[in-house]
Amino acid sequence: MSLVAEKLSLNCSGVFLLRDVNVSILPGKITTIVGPNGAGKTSLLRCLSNDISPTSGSIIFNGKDINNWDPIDRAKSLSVLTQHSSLDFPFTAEEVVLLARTPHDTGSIRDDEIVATALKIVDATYLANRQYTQLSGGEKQRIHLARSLAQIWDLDTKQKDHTDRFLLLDEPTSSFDLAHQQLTLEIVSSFSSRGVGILLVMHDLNLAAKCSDQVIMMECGKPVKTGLPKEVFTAENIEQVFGVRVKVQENPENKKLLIVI
Amino acid sequence: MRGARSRKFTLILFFSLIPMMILAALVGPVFISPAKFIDSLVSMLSITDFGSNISNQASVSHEEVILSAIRFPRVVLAALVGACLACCGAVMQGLFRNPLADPSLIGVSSGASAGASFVIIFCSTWLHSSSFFGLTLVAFGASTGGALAVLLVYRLSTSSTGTSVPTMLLVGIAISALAGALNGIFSFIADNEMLRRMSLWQMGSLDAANWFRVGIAGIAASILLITLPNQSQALNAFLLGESEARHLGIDTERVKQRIILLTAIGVGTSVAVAGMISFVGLVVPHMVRLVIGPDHRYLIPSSAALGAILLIVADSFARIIVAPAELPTGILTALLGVPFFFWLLTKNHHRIQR
Repeated sequence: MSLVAEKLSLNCSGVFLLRDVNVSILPGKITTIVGPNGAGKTSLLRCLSNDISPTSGSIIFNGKDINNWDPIDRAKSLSVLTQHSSLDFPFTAEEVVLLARTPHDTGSIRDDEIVATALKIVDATYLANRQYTQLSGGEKQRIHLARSLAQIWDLDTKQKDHTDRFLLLDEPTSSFDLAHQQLTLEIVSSFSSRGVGILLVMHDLNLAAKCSDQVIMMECGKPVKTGLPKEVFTAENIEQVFGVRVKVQENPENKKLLIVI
Repeated sequence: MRGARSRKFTLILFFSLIPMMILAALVGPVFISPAKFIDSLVSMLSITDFGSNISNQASVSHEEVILSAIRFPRVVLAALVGACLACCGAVMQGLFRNPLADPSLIGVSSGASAGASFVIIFCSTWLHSSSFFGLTLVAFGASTGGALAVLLVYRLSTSSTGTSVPTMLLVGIAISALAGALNGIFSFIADNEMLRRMSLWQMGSLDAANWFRVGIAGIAASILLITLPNQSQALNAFLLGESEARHLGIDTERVKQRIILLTAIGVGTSVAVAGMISFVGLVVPHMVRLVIGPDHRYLIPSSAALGAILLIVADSFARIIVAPAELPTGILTALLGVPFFFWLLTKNHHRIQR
């Protein structure tokens, strides 16, 4: 069970957005993509989620080419949170999360339970009956996070692990306050501990260092460094890719990396 | 969850349709009292049972003829056309993810208008020969024009990577402009009588209602009401955005194709049997959304019912305001619908501010 990109290239009107990328997202692991703007992070995520077709190369999802999956079966185990959603209709927050259950046929009672729990873990229960269009940016993002969680939710089954499930989140914390950024990391970690494979695109290197099992640092459409956070987040690598001088220390509290600018 | 409330709203709308239709059948240049209405209904039913209405013609009352030959087909046609236009509007707004979208965006109305004008001008000799045949010829021209426009819009906005909704919007505007220019040329070369026919047709009217037209509209409305609700989950997901809908397992290309085809059938048929009736497709779904929210599972049936009601009421007013003459129904739909719409908007506005 895995989500693997093999020799992926994406050429958009003469410009290579991705060139020869090999990436594997493994079950139960958190993989984080970092890199400067325009490095191809979102393009890679969109290719992995079959939103756009690569110019060459292939995506193997759970042992089968992603194009050969039935869209509904794929949606049951691969959930994606995009950076922007264009929703402009007055659904309630609850109804937006319920849309995640579209590919499932678990019945409305079970679906309502899942929606309520998903709202609860993203700290948005109080938003349930509010109109989505009237929410703030961070609140909207939390609703969409709850939606992407609800899509691969099935904790009721006998199945102990969920190693066939994958969650791809594109900058999930970009408009969150400090508390909700930490909350997101906790949620993501708890999902990965149940076997869900997770791909994050992040700009905050400290958050990435804190939660990731594998970091992919991208530049100009190519992964330049891949490995454990402490292998990738070195002062030299960050200066080379981002052009910013930093100090990398170890946090004495939790032994995680601390990147200071 | 708003589900229970939305279901109730939909049911209320559907149940109020029947008294609405009866009431509308009573009013007109000749008012028919409820007692006479029931008498006529009973005798009509008993006659059709035995199929001997020709021999019994002497006993057929004045009111009965008005009802069976004029009022009933007209009221039923109004209901069917209103339902078609409103649910097509609802799904178009969902497809374009824009509450201001309208079925005419994909060129069907302007194409139909150009088609009808073409027939009025170039087939005028046949139009005079027989009024029944002439009217269906205009309807045929309208539906062909509408279908051609939609086909063109769809073809031009579809590439190897699929149909682009924003491109479709632009191509729709361009095709509408082109059809408008054609229409302008036709008006320019038309004589006075043709010009009057063309502009009356464009205002839309139900005065040519007969059971044949009811049959055609009935087929279109049944197709829409049976198939569109199957797309409601997909359309709900569509509101999130096309990528998001794909991530939820929706085959977006197939949804787009079906919605466009069904809208072309619905609007094309409506335009063919009743001319251009504006406003219903744009505003009825909007009204429904203000009350029950954007969930297509309830939006589509509720819009159909409310569209039917609005057109029945508008057509009744069209018959009585300047009786014994008639106003084109298309004018009345806007005159009646706009104030109601404003009322809903201001009411909603207060709720938001509170």
